[in-house]
Amino acid sequence: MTVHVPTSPAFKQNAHEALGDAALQRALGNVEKGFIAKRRKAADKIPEFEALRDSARDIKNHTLAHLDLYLEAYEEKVRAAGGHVHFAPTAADASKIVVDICRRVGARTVAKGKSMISEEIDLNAHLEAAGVTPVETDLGEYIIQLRGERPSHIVAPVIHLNRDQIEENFRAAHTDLPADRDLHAPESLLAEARAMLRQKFLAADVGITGANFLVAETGTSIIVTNEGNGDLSQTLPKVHIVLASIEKLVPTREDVSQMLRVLARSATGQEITVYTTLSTGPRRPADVDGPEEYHVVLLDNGRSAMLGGEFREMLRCIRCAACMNHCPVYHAVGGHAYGWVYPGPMGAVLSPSLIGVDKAGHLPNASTFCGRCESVCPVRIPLPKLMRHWREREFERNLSPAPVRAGLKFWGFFARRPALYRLATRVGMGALALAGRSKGRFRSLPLAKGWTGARDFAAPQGGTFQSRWAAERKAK
Amino acid sequence: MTPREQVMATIRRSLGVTGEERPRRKIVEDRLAGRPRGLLPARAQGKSKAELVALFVEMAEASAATVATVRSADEVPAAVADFLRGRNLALRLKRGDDPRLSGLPWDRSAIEVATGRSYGDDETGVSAAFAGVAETGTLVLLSGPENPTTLNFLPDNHVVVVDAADLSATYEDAWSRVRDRHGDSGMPRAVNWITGPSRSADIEQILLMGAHGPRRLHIVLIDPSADAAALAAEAAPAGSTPSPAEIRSTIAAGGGDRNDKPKPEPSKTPEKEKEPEAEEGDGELDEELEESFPASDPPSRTQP
Repeated sequence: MTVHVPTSPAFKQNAHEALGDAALQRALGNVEKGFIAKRRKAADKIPEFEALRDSARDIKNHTLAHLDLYLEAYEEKVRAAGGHVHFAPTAADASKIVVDICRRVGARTVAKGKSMISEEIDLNAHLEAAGVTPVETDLGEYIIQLRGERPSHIVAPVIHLNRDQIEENFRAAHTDLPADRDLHAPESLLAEARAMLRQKFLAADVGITGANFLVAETGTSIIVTNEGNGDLSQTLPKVHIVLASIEKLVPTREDVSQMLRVLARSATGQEITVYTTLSTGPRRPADVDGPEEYHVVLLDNGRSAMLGGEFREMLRCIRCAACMNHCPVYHAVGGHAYGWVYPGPMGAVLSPSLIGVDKAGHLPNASTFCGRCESVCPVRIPLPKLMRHWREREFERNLSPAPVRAGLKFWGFFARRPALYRLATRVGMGALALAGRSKGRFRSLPLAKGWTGARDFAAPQGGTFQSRWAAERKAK
Repeated sequence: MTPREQVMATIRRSLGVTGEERPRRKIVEDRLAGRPRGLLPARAQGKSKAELVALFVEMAEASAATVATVRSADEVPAAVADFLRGRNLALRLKRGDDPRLSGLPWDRSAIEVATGRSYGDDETGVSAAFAGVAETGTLVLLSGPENPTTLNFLPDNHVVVVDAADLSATYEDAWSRVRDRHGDSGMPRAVNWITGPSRSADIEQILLMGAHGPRRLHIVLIDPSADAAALAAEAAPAGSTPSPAEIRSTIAAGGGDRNDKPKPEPSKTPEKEKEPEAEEGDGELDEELEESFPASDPPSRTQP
């Protein structure tokens, strides 16, 4: 059994190791290569894409502002359709609800569609502890489970791996495979997983999926997938459990249609995913297939408290991963360095809310503040602004390291005295320019080891920023 | 306090509300009853029926589905038989009890038709779509005994019959039609939007066709106003859209059968056929016999 403890506090160490990991660096090339161009192309294909982003943002804002009432409406509809709604204030509550259902129906195996909430509550560890075998059925999640890892990306769980590593995992796990079976081609790996998992779908007692959206109007849960594993997971077993967090709600089917127009385009550059599945309650009297029981576990885990503060906007997130796909820091270190379930810019903002600013409050420091994440976010979450909020909180709560605090105080002293600041920067810059004039760069500088440890520091040229700014304003 | 009350109380404290405020309740009631439509893509607006059909076909093919057009429901079995023969598939399929399917002249096509849900041992399933959405070439299928959900996902090949009269411009238009049938806030157990065959790009972002769901999605579109000349041009072979070369597929992967049996001679058709999933059981021998003559069974054309 693998219990996952957040390693977010060790981000610096994680990042350092990631930068030195040649295989990881090779795999990470696929993030930049694929996702960015695909999203661009999909967005360019419809002239109303930017307006759809506004529409998606407004729908989420409206829902969040009335979340209590939409939850009531949703709950009533699920019950009316014969389903069950379970509220889970904490991650532990959610796992317990799922384990209890599995126990009650005597489940031995559980087929799972991809769910980030399942990762958030570390459900597999809890199921295994209760003697229930979880089987991840999404290709990427299946590989992750074979490796006892966490996904490194919220849409493409094994983006950190190369095919030869995956082939090794398959050979180790599928022991009945003939040694001469060629598995090098990725399609052979998929075919092997498909054949193996077919048997698991048909044997599973319970199916668990996540939810991309919940619709208040009808009491419907929605999953969007490309493989079809989520549908097999929820159609074949006699019990379907939906894991969803409370902010997945939207009012109507019209609203969800708007959301779906931006989700796939932002995530994978598809017009829409292959399967968009809307489920409402268990099988009906005349039905010949579908689950006999339908449960929704609504996870809070800190989100209701986020509604009241400056991080409310983060609750608009629809988990498309566009922010990490466009993030230079994510490109460099990958998802595991972030140390918990949610990586990249959305993870840097969300994780401190969910596991505590003491554990993850420094993640927002790993940002170049280039703003690309905000510029591609389908629901226009101001991620850089929210990261800056966390930085302020971290400083206020005395969580940042002593040298950083001392440095900021030192800088603050000058920043509050503009004349002194201008003088000090001019003198400092002049001295650096003079000292570095022969080589044009420094290999090391006192107090700047953090910078020069990995690269040279360019010797300054010309005037300070402020003097050049003043000169340009004058010229106009 | 119950867990529900606990969550609700925190939400209300955060929002600074009690939940009893009349104006807030009114806003939510109005939104749920009024169901305002948002922004609809220009791509699907102001189009004639013929243009919508063309858009639907274009988008469906872009999603790697294949489309065959017929002019009447009576021609559907022959078109399905063409699809099966063209890919060296057994002339055998499973369907639900949708009257739009049960009323078709299957006996004229030599296809053996079984009814009911799938348990994973059907090579081909056929369903009737409730609607098609032109915007993205998406099929809308409703669960029920008419079209069991298992037929959408378990068979290797999924054939979906859709009537041009049931094509909507946008998702919103399709929802209006669902409301006409199931009431204002009613829904069947499952509504499946399907756009193309199953796929995965999880390994190195390489697009692989044929993940857990059907490896092929074939749409038979009934369009009485279809142009006869266009149909003749399209029928070679019925509704084929070759996949771009860089896209890989488990159809050609050869793996997946978990007992290592000798492979048939590699076929010379562009789409190399593979053996059915090895579910040890009755009837497999027949399928294997069918499968062992893939190259020697030239695709026959029954299309006029």
